[in-house]
Amino acid sequence: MFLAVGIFLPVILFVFSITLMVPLLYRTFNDTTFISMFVTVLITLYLLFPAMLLGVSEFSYVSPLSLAVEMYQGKPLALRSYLTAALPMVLIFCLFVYVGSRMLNEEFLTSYRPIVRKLAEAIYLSMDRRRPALSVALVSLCLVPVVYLAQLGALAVALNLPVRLAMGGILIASVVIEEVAKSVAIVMLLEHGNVKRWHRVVILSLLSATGFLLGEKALLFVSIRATSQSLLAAVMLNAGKLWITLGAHFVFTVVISLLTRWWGPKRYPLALGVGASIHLLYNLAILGVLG
Amino acid sequence: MRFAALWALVRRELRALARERTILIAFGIQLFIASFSSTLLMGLISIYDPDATQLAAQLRPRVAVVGEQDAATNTMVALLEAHQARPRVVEDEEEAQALYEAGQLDAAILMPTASTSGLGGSSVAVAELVLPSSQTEASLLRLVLRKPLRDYENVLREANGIELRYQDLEGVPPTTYEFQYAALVPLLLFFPAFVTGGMVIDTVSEEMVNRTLETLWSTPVSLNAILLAKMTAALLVSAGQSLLWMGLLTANGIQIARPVAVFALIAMGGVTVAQVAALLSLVFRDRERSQFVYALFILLVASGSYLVDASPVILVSRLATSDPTVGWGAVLIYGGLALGLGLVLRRVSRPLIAGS
Repeated sequence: MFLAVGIFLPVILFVFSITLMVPLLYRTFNDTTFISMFVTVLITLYLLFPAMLLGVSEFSYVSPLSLAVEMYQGKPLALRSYLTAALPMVLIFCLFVYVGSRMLNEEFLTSYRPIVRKLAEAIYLSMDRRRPALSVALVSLCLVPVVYLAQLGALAVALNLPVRLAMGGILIASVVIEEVAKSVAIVMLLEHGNVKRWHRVVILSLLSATGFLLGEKALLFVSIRATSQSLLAAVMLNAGKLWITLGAHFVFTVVISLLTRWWGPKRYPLALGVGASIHLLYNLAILGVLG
Repeated sequence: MRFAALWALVRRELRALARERTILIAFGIQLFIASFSSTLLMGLISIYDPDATQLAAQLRPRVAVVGEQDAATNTMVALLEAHQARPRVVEDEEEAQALYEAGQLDAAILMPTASTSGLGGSSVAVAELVLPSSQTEASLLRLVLRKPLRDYENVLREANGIELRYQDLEGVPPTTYEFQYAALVPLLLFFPAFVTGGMVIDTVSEEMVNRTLETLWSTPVSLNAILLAKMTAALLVSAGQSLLWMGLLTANGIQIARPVAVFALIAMGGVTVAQVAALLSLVFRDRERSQFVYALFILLVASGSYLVDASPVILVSRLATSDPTVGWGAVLIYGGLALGLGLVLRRVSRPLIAGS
């Protein structure tokens, strides 16, 4: 009985916090339908898909439903598998409730803007403007799971295309998604005039790149641990390579941020294009396609 | 003149939809379903036709052939050995039962007794297959034992002078075809129509809640024209999606046999659903209640329609597979339904609004 509550409480909090975003983001009734459709599909996938792999892969413990199934089979509950399932959900709950409480102001809720702008505004509102450095790093860190989700979606769609086209499409899409995640916080600060000097932009870019890298590696580490190949984890967290990756992340972000500062926030897509192109060339070089 | 006004309203709806952009989410979800349908197909088929996934290839079940040592039993043993099973001849059922309980046996075949044996005689031979009560184990065993049993059937047929080898048929298992035409095609083609109703409810109830319907109505357009425009806009979007799906399905090798009739039937379904949605939004006046009742309606109709032979879901499958017993008559019936509903909506729309 208490076990069931313990298992399902994180799920309840998770579903609550995600659906909290629907009324905060919608502008018209059509929005409500489409956004809640999206949210429902997302929650269903997150809960059901891993649970289908129960007994096949350790990955299934991402979903508390796997724990529930084992509970009804009378198996003992391991603390590690409980934390694997419950911790991300509780973290998402905390994050969304915090973001939701920051978004809760009249001007944001009643304004009609394109959905992309609205999301950007939500990110700006959830930042602490007195501590831009910390906020930028944290936003980049928190956006990492969203980036992975978006890249996964892009992958699912691209796999319908012919292989060469799909590869190119995924490379471009994932680079653009990553660069947006790293630069969005800085660009919002620039647009609202919280940051003006160019050397501040450089420092913030470095922090954003660090936050993103930290999130990326943490997620990678967790997912590799889940598939229990700790040797691979050690290789992935290889210190020497880490500096190169950090430097690369920093360069792309600083290019986008500085170009946005010089050209103005209106030209952000253009700046993004330049930064993403450099990132794409870097990726191609790493893959050995170039030179 | 009136058409121009109507068209202006339709364009207004479509512009609003394009401005919101969130409709892209609906497109994205459909694309996602379709992308994963190949994975889904594999998963579903492995549940109800494991043969297609080669799951049983490594299985070597221990099978008891229960009967006397004679020609028929020896033939069965030889066939079982030829198909990766490990047979042994057992005298009677009790012995087989004992062996099973001792864990030395997976399944048993009770051979036809001498009096009913088909070899040489003319009566029908009845062999019985005894399997464990565990479903998974039983279905896996059934897979392995199907081939030798069919071969034995052929032996019996040949002994009776009948030349028929139905297991020589080749190609994709029939369940793939079944899934594609009975589930995937109707699902993808009707999904846009279901979304249509939701969109109609949203736009109508939004105008009522925001009190913009009165303003719009004060212009020289009738209430019915406003409703018609809202439904037309939503239907145009869903018709576009349905056409796109038909094209994409065809491009992926799933032929739609009678595309015009299929499209007409889906369009009639869409019109009906849109009109039901419009009626609901006029009756309930707020989004929450209308959407809730609409969702229940769709759920009941979609699941209940599998019980009725002439339901649109089944008709689409039959039209898409060029079933000769259905044709434009079916489309006309649903066209008539949509028309009747339209006439009702036309009559009751004003009284329903005036009631507020």
